[in-house]
Amino acid sequence: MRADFPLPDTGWEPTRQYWARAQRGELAVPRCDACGTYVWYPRETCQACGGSSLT
Amino acid sequence: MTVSAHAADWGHATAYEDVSGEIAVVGVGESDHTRASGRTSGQIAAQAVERALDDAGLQPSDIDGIMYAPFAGDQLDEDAFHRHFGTSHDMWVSKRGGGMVWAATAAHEAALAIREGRARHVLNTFAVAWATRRSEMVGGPGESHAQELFKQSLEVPFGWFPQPVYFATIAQRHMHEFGTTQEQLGAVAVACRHHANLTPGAVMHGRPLTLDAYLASPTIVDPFRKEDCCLISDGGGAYIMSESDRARDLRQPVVEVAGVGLGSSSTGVHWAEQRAFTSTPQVFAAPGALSMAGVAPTDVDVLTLYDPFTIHAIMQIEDMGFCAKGEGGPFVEGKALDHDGGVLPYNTHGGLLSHAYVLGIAHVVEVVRQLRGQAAAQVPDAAVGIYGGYTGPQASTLVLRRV
Repeated sequence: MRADFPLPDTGWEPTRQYWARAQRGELAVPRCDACGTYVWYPRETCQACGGSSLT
Repeated sequence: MTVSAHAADWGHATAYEDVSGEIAVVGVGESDHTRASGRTSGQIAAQAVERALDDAGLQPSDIDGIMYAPFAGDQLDEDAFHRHFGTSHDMWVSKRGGGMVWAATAAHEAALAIREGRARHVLNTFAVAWATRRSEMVGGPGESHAQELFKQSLEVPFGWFPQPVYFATIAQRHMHEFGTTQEQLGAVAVACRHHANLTPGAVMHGRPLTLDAYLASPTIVDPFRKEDCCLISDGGGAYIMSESDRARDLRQPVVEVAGVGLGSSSTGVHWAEQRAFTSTPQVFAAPGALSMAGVAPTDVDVLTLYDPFTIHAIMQIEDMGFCAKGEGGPFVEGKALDHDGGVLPYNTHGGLLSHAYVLGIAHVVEVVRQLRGQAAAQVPDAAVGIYGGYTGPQASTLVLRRV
């Protein structure tokens, strides 16, 4: 890898958990607790049902 | 969840009031289109506006409405307009003007402003100095995208950056789904270059391109060659809109605003989030605009489309209903897009690929000239013309008609 290759800010809140899980070898994206829709890219609310609980 | 990529369940049209025939485009102008010129975008816009005023036979003091875009470098806002022309009168102002989708939707907002008596003569203007800024290693379309945090976090680290890479991916998918070929992409590039070679002032004027030369050129991001990608240039454009009755007393043949539409994706603002990856929101924009104008795709004599890459022509031609989805590739083959005898004369000035990278404002200028019979690569007896604007999650359609 080039020394100047742009790396993501793994502390940026919207993607912090994504990169933390990736570090453990997991691919994880948020899912709406209410309707089960995967919400990616990360958002505050579910696009399908408007639910605000995403885990 | 089952996803149907081509069912129209991934976006919507904005409900627009019917403004058909209420206003006309009475003046058009372009700046010089150049490589790095050392000018600011504001200076470039002012030159385009001077020419649009001359074209219309109006004075700076007649312009009492101004529309521009609050991005892409300094633009000719109301203060800059007054400084440049030495005027000081009150103006109706909208920041929802400029190029891209707004080069079409500005006509709807201007029609309402004129209807409500807020302005009589509304100017829409846009300019960029990206060639100059690139030579100074600042600004430009790549840098603005690089500053976007989701792209920084989720796209750039994987190499999905900048714009040619996004749209090469979309083109690959279109080729996979529909069998679109390299030669069909090339046909779009060759048509644009042919028209630019007929258009004095086009950045690529005097530089012919054959399909064989296109196919023999190196790939920069598969399947794109350099000629699949838009220029980076300095330039701008402007057009002036007035009530249709007033337009009849002015200098130029009357070209009226017949229909306007705006469509939006509901699946996110990033390309990676587009559920309909090989479609554009023209699916939602075009039907309303055509309906407002009372025309069908077969009535259209000349089409200009916001065309950062060749694949955008094919996708939007499909999505506006000129052919079925997936048949855009075969549709554009050969001389289909030619100004003289083509089934759908397309980007008759050369578009963003070969005329100038001014983000659609010159496309509107070109349609107006075609409908007046004043274009360089004139479509015989053109009466109905369309500009299709595009930003990714949004697309717009402007139908213009010779009266």
